[in-house]
Amino acid sequence: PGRMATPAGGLEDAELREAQRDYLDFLDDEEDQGIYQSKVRDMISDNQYRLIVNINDLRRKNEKRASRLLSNAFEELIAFQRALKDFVASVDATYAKQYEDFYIGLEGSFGSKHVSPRTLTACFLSCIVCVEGIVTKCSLVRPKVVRSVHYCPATKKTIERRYTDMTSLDAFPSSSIYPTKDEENNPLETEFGLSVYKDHQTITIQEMPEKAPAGQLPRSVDVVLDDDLVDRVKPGDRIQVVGTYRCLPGKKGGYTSGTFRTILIACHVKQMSKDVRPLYSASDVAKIKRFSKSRSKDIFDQLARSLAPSIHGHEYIKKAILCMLLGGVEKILENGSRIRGDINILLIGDPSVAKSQLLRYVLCTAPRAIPTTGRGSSGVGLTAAVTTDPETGDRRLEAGAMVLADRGVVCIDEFDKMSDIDRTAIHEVMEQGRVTIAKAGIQARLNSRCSVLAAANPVYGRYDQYKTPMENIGMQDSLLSRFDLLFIVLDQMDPEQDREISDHVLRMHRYRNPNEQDGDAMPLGSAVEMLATDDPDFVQEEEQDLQVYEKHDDLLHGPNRRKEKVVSMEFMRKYIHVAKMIKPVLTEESASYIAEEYSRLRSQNEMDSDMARTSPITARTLETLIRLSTAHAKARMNKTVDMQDAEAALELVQFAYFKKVLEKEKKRRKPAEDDSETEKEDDQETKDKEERRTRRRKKARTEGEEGSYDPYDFSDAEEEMPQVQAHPPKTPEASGAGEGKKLELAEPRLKAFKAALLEVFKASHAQSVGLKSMMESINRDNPEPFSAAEVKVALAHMQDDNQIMVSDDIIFLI
Amino acid sequence: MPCVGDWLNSPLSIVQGIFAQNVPNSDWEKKVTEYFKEKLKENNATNWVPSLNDVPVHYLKPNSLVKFRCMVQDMFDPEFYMGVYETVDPNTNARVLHFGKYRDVAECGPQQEIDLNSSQTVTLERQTFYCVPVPGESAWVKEISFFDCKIICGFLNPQCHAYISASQARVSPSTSYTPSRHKRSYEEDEDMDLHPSKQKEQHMGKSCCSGGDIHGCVEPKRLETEASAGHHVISPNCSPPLDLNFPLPGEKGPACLVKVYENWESFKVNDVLEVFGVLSVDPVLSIVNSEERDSSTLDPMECMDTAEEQRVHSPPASLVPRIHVILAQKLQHINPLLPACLKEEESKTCEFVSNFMSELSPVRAELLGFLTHALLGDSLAAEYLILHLISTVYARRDVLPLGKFTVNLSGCPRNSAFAEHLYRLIQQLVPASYHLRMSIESMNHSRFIPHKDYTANRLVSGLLQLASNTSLLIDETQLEQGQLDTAGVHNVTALGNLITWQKVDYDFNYHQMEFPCNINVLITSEGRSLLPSDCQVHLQPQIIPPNMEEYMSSLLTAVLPSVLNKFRIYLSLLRLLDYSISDEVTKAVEEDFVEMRKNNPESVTADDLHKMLLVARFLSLSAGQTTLSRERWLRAKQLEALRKARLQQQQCVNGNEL
Repeated sequence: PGRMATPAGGLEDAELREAQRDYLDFLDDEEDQGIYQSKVRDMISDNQYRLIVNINDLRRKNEKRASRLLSNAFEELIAFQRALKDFVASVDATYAKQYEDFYIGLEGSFGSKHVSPRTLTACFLSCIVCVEGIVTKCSLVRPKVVRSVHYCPATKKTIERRYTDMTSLDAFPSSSIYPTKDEENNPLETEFGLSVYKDHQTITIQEMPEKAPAGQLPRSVDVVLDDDLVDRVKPGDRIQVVGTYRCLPGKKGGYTSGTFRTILIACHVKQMSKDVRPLYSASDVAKIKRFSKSRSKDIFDQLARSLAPSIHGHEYIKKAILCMLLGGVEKILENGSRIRGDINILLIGDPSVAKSQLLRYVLCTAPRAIPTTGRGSSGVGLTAAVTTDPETGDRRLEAGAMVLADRGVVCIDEFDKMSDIDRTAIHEVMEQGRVTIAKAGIQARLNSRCSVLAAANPVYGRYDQYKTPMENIGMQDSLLSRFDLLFIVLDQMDPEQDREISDHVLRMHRYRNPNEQDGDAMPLGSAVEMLATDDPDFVQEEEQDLQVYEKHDDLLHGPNRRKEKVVSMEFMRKYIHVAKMIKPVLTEESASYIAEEYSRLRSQNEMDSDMARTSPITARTLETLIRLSTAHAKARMNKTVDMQDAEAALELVQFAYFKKVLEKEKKRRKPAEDDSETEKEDDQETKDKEERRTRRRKKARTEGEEGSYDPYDFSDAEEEMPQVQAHPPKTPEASGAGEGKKLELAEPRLKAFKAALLEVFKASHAQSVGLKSMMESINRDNPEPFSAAEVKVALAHMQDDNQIMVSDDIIFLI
Repeated sequence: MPCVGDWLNSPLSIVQGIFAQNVPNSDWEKKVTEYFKEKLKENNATNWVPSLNDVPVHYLKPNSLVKFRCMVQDMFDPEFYMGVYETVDPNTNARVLHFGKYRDVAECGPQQEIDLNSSQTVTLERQTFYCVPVPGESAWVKEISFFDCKIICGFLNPQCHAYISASQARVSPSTSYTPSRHKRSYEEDEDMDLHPSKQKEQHMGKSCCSGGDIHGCVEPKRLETEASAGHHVISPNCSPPLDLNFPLPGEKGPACLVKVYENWESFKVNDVLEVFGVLSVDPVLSIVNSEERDSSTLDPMECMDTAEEQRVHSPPASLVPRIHVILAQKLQHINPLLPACLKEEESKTCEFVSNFMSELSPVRAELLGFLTHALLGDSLAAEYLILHLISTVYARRDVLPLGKFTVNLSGCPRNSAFAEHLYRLIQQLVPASYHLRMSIESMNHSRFIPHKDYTANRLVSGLLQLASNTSLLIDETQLEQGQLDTAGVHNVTALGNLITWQKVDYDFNYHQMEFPCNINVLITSEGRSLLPSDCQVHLQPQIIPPNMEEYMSSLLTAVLPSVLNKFRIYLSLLRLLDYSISDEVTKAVEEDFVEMRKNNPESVTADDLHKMLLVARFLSLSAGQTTLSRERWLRAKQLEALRKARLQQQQCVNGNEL
C-alpha cells in the first residue's frame, strides 16, 4: 500500500506546505494580538511540548483552514505540528531540538463534532471530534519505542530506525519488526540510551448515564493517550477528549475479518466538573427567560404544581421541595464557618401517603440525588467509614450517601429507623456540610454539602391526633431543628378533597399514552440530550426536547380548569438549573419583615394553646426564613429577595411549624366537623394575615412613591449575616423592656448625687456604706430626693468610671 | 411442499445473487430483506426454519438460515465492517466485488487478496447483541415450539433430522440433550466436498482448537455439550471456564452473538426478540484470538483488549455461535400457542381471538377451580392469583408504574414444600418463571443486580435481569433468622425496588442506571412478607393433604393437556387486551369513594382506591370485558372487603395468642 500512495503524495506535499504556511501565519500573530506567540513562549518556559489552540481563534482568522482541520485531521494536524515546530525553532532553536515532536491540542466549540460515544458514528471517521464520557478503564502506562538506535560491532555502523503505528498521525505504519541483524546477518546491539521512547496509554470512556436513552446500555469508545497526556485521568472521571477518530483495519493473524476497530487518538483531555449539568441551547435559555417573565406572578405556584403531577395535593410539600431543589445561598463567614444554603425537609406521616413516591420523584428530577434508607444503609452508612481492605490490609475511606450527594440531594427513606450512630453523625453534616473522620489513624474532612429530604413514620406507626407533634415525631430537638421544614402528612377526611383524589387516581388509571407501546417506559431519568446546537439534523429533536408544557391530555389532566398547565419535566430540570445559579440578595424591607415575623413566630408559640409546634423555633428558623425566601426569589429569577418572597417563605413556615392537637372529648363527639373547624380557623388566620399583608404592602408602596424608592441591596454577604446572627440572643420582650426603662440622668443631677454621696462617706468615716442607709442619708434633707432608680443609674455610672464599687447592696469607695 | 432448500440452506448464495444483480446501486440490501420477508410470509414458513433454541448448534448447517428466540442480555459497541469490498488476484489483476454483510470473515479466494485501499470499499456499521434464551422459559414453551419445528423441518434439513430422530423419545428435548453417538452421515460428507475451502478451515480448526470443531469426531462434541450444560466450558488451553452469563443459575441453551444490521436503536436490553439470520460458526473466529496473543509485540491494539475482553467478545464460535440477522422482531409474548403478533389486523388473528373469547367463561371457571385446588381449597386466594397472573405494567406515570399487582400470599404452610409445588403448577401455566427461594445464604451470595465488568467490558447478569412478564415467585417461608451482609442488604433493597417501582438499578460501578422492567412478583410467606406488596392475601386452607407432593401431582395429571393449553392461552391473551373506564362508571366510582370515606374514613385511602381500581381492571379483563362495568366494580369492592376482613381476622387471632 505504501507504494501506491507515493504518486499522489507529490500533489499532497504542495498542499501540505501551504497548510503549514497557513498555520505558521496563525501562530505568528505578533502584529495581531500576540496571543499565540506568548502562549508558545509560556510553553517553552514551562518546558512543555503541547500547545493548546482554541479552534474558535483559528476559525476567526482562517475559517477554511479551521474546517479542514476538523474534517481532515491527519494531514492537517501534521502540518499544524510541523508549523509549531518551525515556530518554536524560530523562537528558541535549542529548545526545538530537545523534543522529537511538538503537539497541538485543540479546544473550543466543535459544533456538530461535539459528540458522545453513542453519537460518534462512522461519518466522523478521520475527523477531529470532542467526546464526553466517564473514564471506565485505564491501561497501564507503557513505553513505546519511537526511535531505536542499533550498533553493529562487525561493521562499526549505527543504524537508526523510526517506528510509527496506526495510532500516530502518519498514515502508514512502519514495519513492526525490531532489527536484530543487519543485511549481512551481522548481529546488532541496541543502544538503549540513544533510543527514544514515549509513554502510551489506552483508556475507555463510556457514555454518561444521563445521556443514554432509556433502556439502552451505555456505549463506550477507546481512546489512545500519548506522551504528556498519559495519567491525566483516572477511572470514574468525567472528561472531554478532543482527538482524531480513526478506524483500524481488523487484520488479525493472516485473515481479514472485514471488521474494523475504532479508536480516538487524543490531542487534548479536559476534566469536566463532577456536576451533572444539562446542556441547553440559546433557544432554551430564551424560553426559560420568557417563561420567567411571562408568568412572574404565579410562577412559583405553577412550578410547584408541576412537581410530581401523579401525586395529588400536598401543595405545600411540593412548594417546599421546589425550594429545596433551588436552594438558598450558601455563605462562608470570615472565620471559616459556613451558613448553609441547603434546605432540609422532613416528611412525617401515616404510611401510604405517597412519601416514598415524592422521594422517588426528587431522585429523578434533581441533578444529583442519592437514595438511601435509614434501615438499609449498612456498613458505610450515611456519612463515611474507614474500611480495611481484606487482601492488603490497607485502610480506605469509603464515602457514604451524604458525601456522595455533595452539592445535591440525599433522600433518606425510613428516617426513623436509622441507627443512633448515623443519627449523631448526621448532626454535623446537616449544619456544617462536612464529615469529620478520626478513626483508625485516618483523619479526614469530607465535604457533604447536601440537602436532606427525609421521610419518616410517626412513633406509633400512625399519627396520633391526640398527642402533640413532638410526641408523635419522637426525635431530639437538636436534630429536628436542623430541618428547615417539617411536614406532617396526614390522611385528611374531606369529601371535596376525596373527590379530587379519586378523580386524580381514576384519571391515572384511565390514561394511556397513545404513543406508548406495551410495557415501554416513559423516558424519565435518562433523557437524550443534544450536545450540539448548530447541527441541522438536531433541530427537530431539539424542538421536541424543550417543550415548556406537557401536552394537555383531557383524560389525564382533567378538563382544562383554571390555568393548570403542567410544566414538562425536561423544562423544569433546565429551569431549575438556570435558576439555581442566581444569587438573590435580601432587600432591606424584606429583611426587616422577616426579622419581625420571626419574633412573632417566637411569641406565637406561647399564645396559641391548641396549636402545637412541630419543631422548636430557634435561631435556625430565622435562617430558614431567609433561605426559603431566597429560593422563592430564585424561582422568579429575581436578583433581589422581595416582600412577596418573604411572605411565601413565611407561609410555608407557618404551615410547617404548627399542627393542631385534638382534644379527646371533642373528637369523640363530632370528628368530621372538628376537622373542618380547624381548617376554618386556619383559613381565618391566613385571611387575617393576608389583610395585614396587603395593608403593609400598600404602606410600602406609598412610601416608595414619596421618597423615590431605592431598593437598597445588601450586596455583600457579610453585611447581611451579622444582622441575622445578632437576633437570637435578644428576645423580643427583653429588648422592648430595656428600651422603655432607660433613664438618662442629667449632668447636674449626677453631680449633686456625687457630692451627696461623698458627704455620706465623710459622715460615716468608713470606706463602705450600705445602700439603704446611704439612701436615707442622702435624701434626709434634700429638697429634691433621689429616686431608687436614679440612684441605681448614678451608681452604675460611677462604677463605670471606677469611682465606686457596688456589691450586695454595699457601696465601696475606691 | 414448495421448494425451500435454497433460501434455507444457503441464504448467502441468494444474497450473492441479489447483490450481483443490483451491485451499482445500494438498494440491494433492501431487496435482500424484502426477499426473505416474502419467503417467511408463506404458509408456516417460519416453522421450517430450524431454531437454535431446539437444535444444538453442531447439528445445524453453518451458513444456513436459522431462527432464535432470545433476550438481549448485553449490547456491545457498534462495529464497523466492510459492507462492500474488492478482491484482486495478484497474478491476473482481476478484480471482483464482494459483499461483507451477513459474514464474519471477508471471503477471499485462495489466489486472491483483499484490496483495502480500493475506492469501491464501503464501510458500514452493525451492532452486536449478546443474546441468551429467554430466562426461565418454561419447559412446555420449548416443547411446543420444538414440536412445531420437528414436523416440518425434519424433512428439509438432514442434520436436524438426525438430531430429531436421535431425540425422538425424549420428553423435553431442548433442556437436556445428550446426543447419542452417530456416525458422520453421508449428507455431511457431501456437504464437505461441496465446500473445499470450508474443509480447509475446519482442518485448521481441528489442529489448533478442538473446541472449534464442528463435524469432526464425536468426542469433543460431547464434551462440549456437557460442559455447556454445566454453564461453563473447559477450553483447550486451560484458561478459566467461560461464563455464558445467563441471568438465572442453572440455565441451559445456547448464548449467541446476534449481529443486527438495521434498526438496532429500536431494540433495548432485556427485549425478547425472534431473529432470523445466517448462522455463522466459522472456527477461524476462535483460532485467531488464541493465536493473536503471542504474536506481534508492536501491535497497537494489543494493550487495548484485555484477555478477558477478548474471551467475552469473541468466544469460541462453537460455544457462542453468531447469527447475522436478516429479519428481527420484538416479541410481545413467547407463548407458542398464540399467534406471534396480536396487534396486526389480520383476519386470522381476529378469528383466533374471537374464537377464544367465546369460550372464555368456562375456561375461567375451570382455571379458578384448578387454582382453588392448588391453593388447598381457598377460592378467594385463587381469584387473586388469576388477577395477579394476568397483571402487567401497562403504563408509567412519572415514577409510578401502573398495572403491577404484586400479591403476597401469607399464611402458607411451612415445611410442606407448598411453595415449591405451587411454583411447579404456575410453571405449567406461564411461559417464563423463576422460583427464588429466599434464605440468608442465597440473599448474601447470589448476584441479583446486573453489573458492568469493565475489564471484560460486559454486563455481568444478575437474577433480576428478566424479560417482561416473567413470573417471579419469591418463597419467604424458607427464610431463617440471621445476619444479612452488605450484599444481602443490597439484594433485598433491589427486590423491594423491583416490586415497588418495577425498576432495577444496574450497577455501572461509577454510577447506576435505572432499567424499567415488568415482572410479576408473587410472594409466599408465613406471616406478612418483609418485602412490599400491592396486596396481601391470607391463605385459608380448607384441606391439608397428608402428602403434598402426591396431592399436587395428581392435580396436574387430572388436567387434560388441551385444557392446560387453554389455561395458557387464557393467561397470555388477557394480558394483551386493552382496557378502559367509561365516563359514567368513573363518576359512579368517584361517588362511591367519597361515600366510603364518609362512612369509614380510616379504612379507605387513596391507596385503597388505587388497589380497588386495579382489582376491578383485572377482574374485568379476566372475564374478557375490556370496559369496567358497575357490577365488576361492586365485585372488586366485595373481593377487597373479603380480603381485608380476612387480614383483620388474622390480626385478631395473633392478638389473642399473645
